[in-house]
Amino acid sequence: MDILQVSGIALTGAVLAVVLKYKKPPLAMLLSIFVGVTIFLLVLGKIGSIIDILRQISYRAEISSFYLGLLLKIIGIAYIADFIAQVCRDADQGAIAVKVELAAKVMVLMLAVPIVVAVLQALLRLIP
Amino acid sequence: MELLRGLVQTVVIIVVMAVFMEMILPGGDMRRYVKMVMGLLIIVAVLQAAAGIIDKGLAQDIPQVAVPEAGPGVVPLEDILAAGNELSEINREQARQKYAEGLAKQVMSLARLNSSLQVADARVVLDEQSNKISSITIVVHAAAAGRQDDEGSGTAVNIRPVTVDVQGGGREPAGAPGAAPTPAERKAARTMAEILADFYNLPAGQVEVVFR
Repeated sequence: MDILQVSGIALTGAVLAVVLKYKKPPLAMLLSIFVGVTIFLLVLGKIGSIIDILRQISYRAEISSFYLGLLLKIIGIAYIADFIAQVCRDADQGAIAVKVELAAKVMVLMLAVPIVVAVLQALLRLIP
Repeated sequence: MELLRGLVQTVVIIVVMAVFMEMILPGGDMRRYVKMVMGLLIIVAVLQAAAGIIDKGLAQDIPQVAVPEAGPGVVPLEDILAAGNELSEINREQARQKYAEGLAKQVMSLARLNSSLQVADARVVLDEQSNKISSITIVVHAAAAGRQDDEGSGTAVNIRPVTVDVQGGGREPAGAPGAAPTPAERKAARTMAEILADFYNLPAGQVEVVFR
């Protein structure tokens, strides 16, 4: 099962990181990044099927695929920013983590503009 | 009743999708932002579904076509298609003209930023196939700058500079009928043409300045 693989990788990585933390702290950090990326890549393949289901549901709900694509992009940005910010925090770089989060927020808001415009248009269309 | 059923069905699907999507949202500080965008998307979806029922006229802009098979007064399909094509061609030509006019205005206002030249007109020629800019012609009053200078210095008599053309044999240079630009004007015109060519990403030869 995949969850056993993920758990095994995470557990091994955690033990190694604890050992390395006292001997060579930079290596421990690199190891944690490596483990994080590996787990992320392992589950990346499964995200495709979730997106397919979401596309089918949005098609039935008559939601434009453009908006769904935007939302998925936003979720992706949020995940990546969260991941990187966490890595930065692990490396005691809280300031950089905050900047990454700020950049992600700006990007999310920028991508949200077409949806805000669509809400406005729909509201204006309802007004007689 | 059927419409209401459709609306309820759509809303139920949207709600299910929203719950499903909320599960895949990231944790932490970013969650609030993504949730906000997702909320907006749900509002759009619900409003679109509602607008389709409340405002039926807007949702169905195109009326249904009922063409009789044959009979008196029925125009053949080929004629309708030919007329449609003709209309489409006219519309395209008008759109091209408007585009060219808009571009010409833009070019003129850009050219007028250069105060050393008195720009009279700007013409933009578009390519027939690609609708890209084929050439830009700017018409400039040649004596304007000289006149301004004269007025500024308080000279009473306005004398046009005499140009001795040894090689031309009295022939006017192409694109400059009756023009007598000063070297300063020529330089300013060249600079302006280069700037405009850069601005519209054109080769320098496609921007022409004509003195009148």
